[in-house]
Amino acid sequence: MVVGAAVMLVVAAIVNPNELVSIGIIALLWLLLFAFLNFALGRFLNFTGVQMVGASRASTIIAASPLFTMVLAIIFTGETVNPPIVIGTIAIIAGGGLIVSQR
Amino acid sequence: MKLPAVALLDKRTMVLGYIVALMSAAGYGAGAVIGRIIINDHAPPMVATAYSLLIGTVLLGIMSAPYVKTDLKRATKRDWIMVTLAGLASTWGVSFFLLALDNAPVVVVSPIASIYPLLVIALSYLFLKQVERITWQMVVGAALVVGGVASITVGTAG
Repeated sequence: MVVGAAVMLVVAAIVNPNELVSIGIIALLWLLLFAFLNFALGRFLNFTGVQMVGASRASTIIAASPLFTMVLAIIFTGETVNPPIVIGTIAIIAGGGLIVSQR
Repeated sequence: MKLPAVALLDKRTMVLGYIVALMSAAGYGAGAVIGRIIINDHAPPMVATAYSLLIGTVLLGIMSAPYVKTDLKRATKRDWIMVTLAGLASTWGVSFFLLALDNAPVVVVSPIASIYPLLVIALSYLFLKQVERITWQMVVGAALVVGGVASITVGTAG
């Protein structure tokens, strides 16, 4: 991540130099929340999960993240639920259940 | 270094591992919505990627500070290569994820980004044969998850 951050800072300085230096405090707070959810929570627990149950099992469970995205989108943006979403949700839960049932 | 065989783990570890993985999914899921807000209203994808990686590095640095000294002593050359490759892969993923959010709805980007378990299973089969046992249930389960996210994509795009 240190390497990645350094590379991306250089790329951003070339592509969006003005936006890079003029970023506001509100944007930084959103980025802090994003970084916390994505790296401190998501990434850390991702690696912990992989260590505990293996890459194949953990990554498949983690791939269910769109379910959480959907729930949040329904709550915060008023998205509606339709048959493909219900079918998709059932498939994700069934798939996750099948993997979890493995020893 | 000999790694422990995942298939031999006890039930408690497995349950805890699945709970941890679900919590990780919740973090990524919420992160996708926040990412969309950032890209929409506050910063272009490249700037957002740079700052999020920088802030993420600081956060993970604070969290891992107690273990850094011992881990640095134990790290081999191979470990450093793997860590660097993982970091570059992560940068690649975050950059294109935020770039995708700049060009498509979050409810489409998030499910499509979630097809990676099939790739993980294929790579595990190729490179982690001694550590992980791939069963037909895992393959079918992963396929169901991928099919499910595809269905959600169709549902939300319509």
